[in-house]
Amino acid sequence: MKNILQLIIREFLRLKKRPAAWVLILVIPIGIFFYLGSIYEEGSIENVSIAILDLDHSDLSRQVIHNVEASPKLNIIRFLNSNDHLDDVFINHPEVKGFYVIPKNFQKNIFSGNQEKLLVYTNSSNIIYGNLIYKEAATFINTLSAGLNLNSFKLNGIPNEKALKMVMPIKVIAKPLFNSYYNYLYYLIPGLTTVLLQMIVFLLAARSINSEYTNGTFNELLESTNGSVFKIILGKVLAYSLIGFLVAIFIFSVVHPILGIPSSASTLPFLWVVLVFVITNAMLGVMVSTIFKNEAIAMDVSFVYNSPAFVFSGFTFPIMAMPAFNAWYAQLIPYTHFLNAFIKGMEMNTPFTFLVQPVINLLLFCLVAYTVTVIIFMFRNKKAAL
Amino acid sequence: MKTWFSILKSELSLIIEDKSILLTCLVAPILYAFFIGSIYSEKNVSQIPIAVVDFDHSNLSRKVSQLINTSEKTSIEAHYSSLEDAMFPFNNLEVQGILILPKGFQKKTMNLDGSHIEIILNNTKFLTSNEINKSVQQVILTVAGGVRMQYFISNNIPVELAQQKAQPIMPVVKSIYNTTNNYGDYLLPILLILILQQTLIIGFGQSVVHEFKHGVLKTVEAYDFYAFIKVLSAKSFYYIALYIAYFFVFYKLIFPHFSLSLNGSILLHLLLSTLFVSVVIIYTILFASFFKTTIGWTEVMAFSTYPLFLVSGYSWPIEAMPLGLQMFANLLPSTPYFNIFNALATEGAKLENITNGFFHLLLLFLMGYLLLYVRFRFIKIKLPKKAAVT
Repeated sequence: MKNILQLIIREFLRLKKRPAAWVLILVIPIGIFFYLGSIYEEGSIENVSIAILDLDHSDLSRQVIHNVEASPKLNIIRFLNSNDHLDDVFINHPEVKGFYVIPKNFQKNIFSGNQEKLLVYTNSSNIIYGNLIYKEAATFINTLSAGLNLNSFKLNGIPNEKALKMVMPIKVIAKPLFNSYYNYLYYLIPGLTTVLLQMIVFLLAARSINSEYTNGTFNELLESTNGSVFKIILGKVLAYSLIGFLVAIFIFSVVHPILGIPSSASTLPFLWVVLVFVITNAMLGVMVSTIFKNEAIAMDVSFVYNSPAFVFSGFTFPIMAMPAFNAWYAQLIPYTHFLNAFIKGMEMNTPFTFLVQPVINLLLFCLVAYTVTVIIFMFRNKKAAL
Repeated sequence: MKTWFSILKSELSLIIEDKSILLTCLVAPILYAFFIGSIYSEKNVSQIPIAVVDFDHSNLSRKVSQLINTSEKTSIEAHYSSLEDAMFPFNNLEVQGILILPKGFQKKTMNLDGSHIEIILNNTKFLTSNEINKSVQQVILTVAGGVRMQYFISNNIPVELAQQKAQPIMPVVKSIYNTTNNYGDYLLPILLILILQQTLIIGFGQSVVHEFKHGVLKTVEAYDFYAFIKVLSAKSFYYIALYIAYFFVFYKLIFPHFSLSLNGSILLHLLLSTLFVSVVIIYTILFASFFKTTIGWTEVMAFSTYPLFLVSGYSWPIEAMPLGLQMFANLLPSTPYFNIFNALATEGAKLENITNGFFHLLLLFLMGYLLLYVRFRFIKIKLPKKAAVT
């Protein structure tokens, strides 16, 4: 035990001499986590600039415009005229993200009992705006349509209450759970901070063994453990896991609360999953560091493996929509399994049993990485003995 | 003092000798482009699994389930007899939503007494949650329109007119430039450019750090600014040429491979890419000059991908960010470049439509050059003076 503790302290002293390690341990958690949080400070897009092309100039079309103006998320910034080329509106006016077209004879046709179309064009080269305008337009037009129906029913002598039910015979009650306000800060930041946690631990550990060779201290390390590879691995893994775990505690107890991300009642019991996650990454980093004696190559491999972890995890684009190979590869990244456990345990507050599978998967990573590391050490020792 | 060509020659030897730069600049861009690009090859998510709890067991409830199941975006994974049963696959992330059809649904709907259905959404992931909600809303709008139509028909209104009266205003939403509003066409083009930017920053930065540590710039204190720039321009030349070639390959091979639209003249694209690459290179030199080891550079820069992308305004509007971040975003080359690239490639803009972005990039280039001069003066002041090399 004393030996392991000495190894951990030795590892910390070695890290102290590496300025880049300080950047990873201090600057990324303090600087980058808050920086990312402040990008999404507003949480949701509250204002979308749109334009209107009114070809009808009737009372009803003016009423439509008035209603659009009253919409809290839509802001009319331009009125187009018939000389404007519809295909070029978004190019000539990049600030306009969508526009409504009220066709000629809009009022006349509707009051004659004929159906009329209200056209909404969205600049969907950015789907955030595209989706938002679509949602607002669909709600707005259906409300408008319902209003016209309501008047028509009431004119036919149907009582208001009944007419209201007839206008909307089926109501959809949507219950979006776990982030009811569609807040991007709550949605993205927990994912981004935890994926960066994986990178911090992995990249730090990826220089743990090879740097001993580079600095010519490996034999000294071996001697200090009486030749025990197990102790070397354990000491290194514990050192980086401890750093990772402290960063994780900082994320959940400082970063998320300061950014205003609601804390989960399951945070404390979930910390043991976080511990397994950081141990897994420390172990994988140590494995990479053992395989590649060249620190630069180890760092490149770690970068190539870790940097796409977020997009492969299914966080923003679901794994089920990925081709088979990509979906399979996603399973080879520990973050994918951690995210599964994180969503269930922290965001959905599901019982412990739902976390068992992703935790077993993480432990499997540990086992494989440990076995590979030991085999490489044994192979090297054998080679050195010859 | 080495000649410009000899510095360029040394750079080529360094790239071949240094496996890390070789991997980052020669292997990673193409590998990443296909590997990460293929994630989005399906472009959009479809058949999102949902569970159904049907308490009504009526023809209408079955019809609604069937319509939702046949819609492109959603697929009914299983029917459950109680909400508790349906919560198990929901909690296990096997289904992303639960549709609840209450008892009396058909009766209330057909009697025009006002009925409702419930959809429980897992909103931990917006894309799937939004798509399920949209699909269900669309199905219910159609069914509700049908119910209203039946009422008008029962009041002796001809079918065709009843159909129109049931929905007096029809919403027609047309998505321009990304007609299917899909995630792949939106994200992938910029992701591919981001891959080029990041591999350039890391690979070229390693070379710059190497030059300061072991190369000709090891004795930078003996250089004047002209000699300093001569060394860096010779070093940069290879990377500019390589990355312009990459942009060409991406535009001509990878974009078509993933069926991504690329409007605008290829020459104009390459011209803008050259300016973009040049600004990235100047900034890389500036920041790399603060690093002592190439590994340290890689270690730290590995964390720059998300911060640079997310602040660029592509995935989240700059106007929605705090003022300080808005200013910072405008100091980065990716912000104007992503903007003008999107306008040109996706929206089919012309040169006159992107002049602001072009001048923005040009300004960043000049500012980078100026900052590099300041940095050079600072290095000179800090280090002991040696004989000037010209």
